[in-house]
Amino acid sequence: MHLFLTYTIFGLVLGGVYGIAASGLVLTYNTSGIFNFAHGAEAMLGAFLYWEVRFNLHWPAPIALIAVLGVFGPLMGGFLYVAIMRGLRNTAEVTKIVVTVALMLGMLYLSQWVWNPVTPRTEQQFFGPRSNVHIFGAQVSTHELIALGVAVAIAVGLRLLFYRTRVGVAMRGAVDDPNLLELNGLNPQRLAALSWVMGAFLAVLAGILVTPISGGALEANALTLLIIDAFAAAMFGRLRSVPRTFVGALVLGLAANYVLAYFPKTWQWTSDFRISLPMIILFAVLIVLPQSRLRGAALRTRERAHLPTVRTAVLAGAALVAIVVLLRQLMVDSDVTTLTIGMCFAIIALSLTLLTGYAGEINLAAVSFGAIGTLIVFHLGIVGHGQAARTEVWAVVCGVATAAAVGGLIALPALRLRGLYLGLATMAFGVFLTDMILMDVNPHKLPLLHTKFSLFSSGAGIGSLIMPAIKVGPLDLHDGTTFLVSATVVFVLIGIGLIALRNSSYGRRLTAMKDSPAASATLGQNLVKLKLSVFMLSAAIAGLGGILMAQAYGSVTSDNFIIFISLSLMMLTVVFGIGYVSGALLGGVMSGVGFALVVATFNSLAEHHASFHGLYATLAHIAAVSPALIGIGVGRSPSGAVHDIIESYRPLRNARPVIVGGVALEALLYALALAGVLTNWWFAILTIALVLLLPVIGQMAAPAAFYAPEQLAEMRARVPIELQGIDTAYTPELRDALDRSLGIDTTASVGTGGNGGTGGNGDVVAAAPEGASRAPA
Amino acid sequence: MPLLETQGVTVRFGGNVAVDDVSLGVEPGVVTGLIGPNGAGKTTLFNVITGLQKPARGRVLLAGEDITALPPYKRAQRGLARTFQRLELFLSLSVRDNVRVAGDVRNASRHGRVNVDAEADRILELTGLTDVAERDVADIPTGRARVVELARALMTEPSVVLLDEPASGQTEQETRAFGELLTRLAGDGLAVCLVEHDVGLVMQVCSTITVLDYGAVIARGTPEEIRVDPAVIDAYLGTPEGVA
Repeated sequence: MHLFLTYTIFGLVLGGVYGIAASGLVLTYNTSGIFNFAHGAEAMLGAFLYWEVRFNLHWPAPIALIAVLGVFGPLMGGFLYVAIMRGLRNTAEVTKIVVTVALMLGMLYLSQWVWNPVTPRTEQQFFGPRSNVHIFGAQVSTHELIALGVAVAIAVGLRLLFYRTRVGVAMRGAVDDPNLLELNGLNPQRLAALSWVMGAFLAVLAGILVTPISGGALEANALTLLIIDAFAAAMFGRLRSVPRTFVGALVLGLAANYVLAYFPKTWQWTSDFRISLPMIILFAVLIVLPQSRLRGAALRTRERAHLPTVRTAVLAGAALVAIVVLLRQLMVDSDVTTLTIGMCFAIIALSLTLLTGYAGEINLAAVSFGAIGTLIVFHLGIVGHGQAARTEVWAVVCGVATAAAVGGLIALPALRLRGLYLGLATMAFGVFLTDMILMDVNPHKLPLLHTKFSLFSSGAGIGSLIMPAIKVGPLDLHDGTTFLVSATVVFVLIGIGLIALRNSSYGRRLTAMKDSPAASATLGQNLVKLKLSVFMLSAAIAGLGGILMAQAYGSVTSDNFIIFISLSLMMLTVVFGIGYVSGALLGGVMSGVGFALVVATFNSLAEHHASFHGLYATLAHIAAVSPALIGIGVGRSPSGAVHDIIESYRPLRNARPVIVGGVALEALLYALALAGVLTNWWFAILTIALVLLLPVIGQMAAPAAFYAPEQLAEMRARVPIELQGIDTAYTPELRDALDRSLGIDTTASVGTGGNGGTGGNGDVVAAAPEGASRAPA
Repeated sequence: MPLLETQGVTVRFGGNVAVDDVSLGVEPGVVTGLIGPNGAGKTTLFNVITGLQKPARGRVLLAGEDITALPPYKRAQRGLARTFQRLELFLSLSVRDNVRVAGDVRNASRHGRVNVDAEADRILELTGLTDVAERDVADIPTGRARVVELARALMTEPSVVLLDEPASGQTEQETRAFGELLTRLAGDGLAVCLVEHDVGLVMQVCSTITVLDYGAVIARGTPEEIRVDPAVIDAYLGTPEGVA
């Protein structure tokens, strides 16, 4: 009984804190329509800042609380809304998700920059660790009582706000009908800003409260994910109801503590299970949620994508293979492996092009399906030992099929629901997989076959899998160059396949579903079936990419599959263009190797040039944060960088000499790099500059390709206003036009101009203010 | 017996009764009109018939079969098609692909294949959209876009078509052509149910008209009867002089 009481109280406290975090999430989502994946990161930043001022700078607790909770939190929320979220109107759901995911990643990098993760930090409880109270014999700390009290106050306060105040009622309705709100004299933008301010406040509050009760150690990733657990609570309230959200939060808190109390301590997976519990519960809730209503909502979003023909795709694919072979000549062997890893990421990114770019559905854990494939291949298909070990192709086929099957199982409960839920379900799956399955290094015995195996360990070390390369007949991927070219060919084949698919009737049905699910269904489309098929296909592609990635690395640990890798891959793919196969290529290569390479280069520069250490170290930090900054900016260019580049190149079709010149210049650069005159970095920088500048050069060299003849004539004829009367004749019409634009009464000035003399001046002066006061009207 | 029938359909939104015990029959070969002021429940009734909205009470029958519990796509596969008052076009596709995709859906779901390209050509010709077929559907004016919705619906080879304010946004000329098209389609045996505020069009093409107000049926009859019905004049049409 004593045990029960103690854990019940702990459970209520934890649940209360979950509730505070989750209600902030619900609040922002309902009022601004943006599901804030950075909610946990906001909490994390708040907790770190609180630690900084309270325990590093030793401010008194009340002042520290006022500074962090009262000033920093609300300011952060308000700033995020004004600087970023306001610009997300008329964008697709995936763009909104990417922006907040980017924000989360950016905040994580930022915290690691400011607070070096190697240093341990502990946040103590309010009133110190020895301030305790006894309730019916159970010992509870003052901090925990405060947390519980605050949670109750927040729950009651939000309830009153939403049902008793005009602003609160309006906030509930803001997403459903912003226009109606405007008609009633309320400003939906201001309400959304308010919701971000309140959301950030609640996140920071939860962050400060939760750290001491879950051990006290501040760790950025764990803290961010801990608040993600609150997603599960928000799901109880269907992301709408605050009271239900609090009930869900209490269920979560209690369940976690009862598992701790009553599950056998000797079970090694008990603690893994406890950590994964919120994700498991999130899944269970998804299954029982009623089907979302199909609502007509075909809005023209700002995302666009041009669709290439299969012929263009084949040509581009051949060009890509040729380019990779040429680039290979410039690289040392270790770089070849790096590029191969990048290419494998690009294959995983293709799964997102299909799923999100073509079908409008969301998968936030693409790399996790790669982990499924990798596990299967590791346990089924490796023959030989040591250097001679190879992976068999049929095992890869099995791995890919399993990834597809698991994908189907994961997606099925969420497919009846709106896109965001599928995103959350996949994220829950990804976190569950790394927390639970990939942590499982204990030997098991299969029940009937009595075969011993352990899920995620091989001889080389606990928790890592040695993944030898594939061998098919004469093709042995053990050789780096062969692997790189093969991975590129696989990418190209899948890419061409996707473009052919998008051009087929299946692709049209996907697009129709993405544009208007309601219209699709009333034409006879079984949406669940179509979503399921495309999700499984995409999971299969991700599985294949993941298997190849694991082989390119040679050995993998659970760290290779954590959710943040999936999230940053997804973010960069959107940044480069989720609707394009080339967007997947660039996004995959950049997230697989690009930014890591830049950061590593700066760090090694910092090491070797001691005098510039500070500068290079800062540049390395900036490079680490940059993907997130780019991701946050995706709201401004939601179709992606590739789309913008293709748009800028479109007119160059009619300016062949410019294209030929560009290619010739690039060939020269390559020759210089091959000869060792240019280093690889210079080659890369000049190439990027050339690609970006060519359309600009084209515009200057061949304007006829960019503008219609009439436009061109008009441009030649146009003289800037300050040169009119100088480059052109000073005509009466021009004088009248100038008078009009200056607000001078033309008739008066003409009249006085005729008279001449001083009186005329007076008239003009008198007329001017009159005209000026008329002008604004 | 009507091809499509609702029996005592009632829909409540919270405390509001949006559709109140409405029974309606739609016969093949004619255009059935459904009119009433804004908020009378016309679109909600269409949503119930097509399965986008669950009724609190009542049944929907298609060719004698109770389809009340079927999901929208199964109703469509049984020959029910509709257009939307707030346009629901596939905005990243061309006009032709908007029509073709309806055929693709049909081929993917049923036995017996249709030649999508030839059928799309025929329907684009029939609805007079051939000149804009290759344009992005997002770039054409609302009046033409409404015709694209009809063309897309026809591509599913329906037995019943529900049209939700198809003439709004159309020019007078477009509306006239649209009315002729409807008459022709009905002449070929299609059952058409028309929700429309353009009373001229309704009176021109409909053989029977049902009038809704506050969710309930207040009148039913031929255009001539409806024109002079005091309840209808009071609730919707205004004085008879205003109608002509």
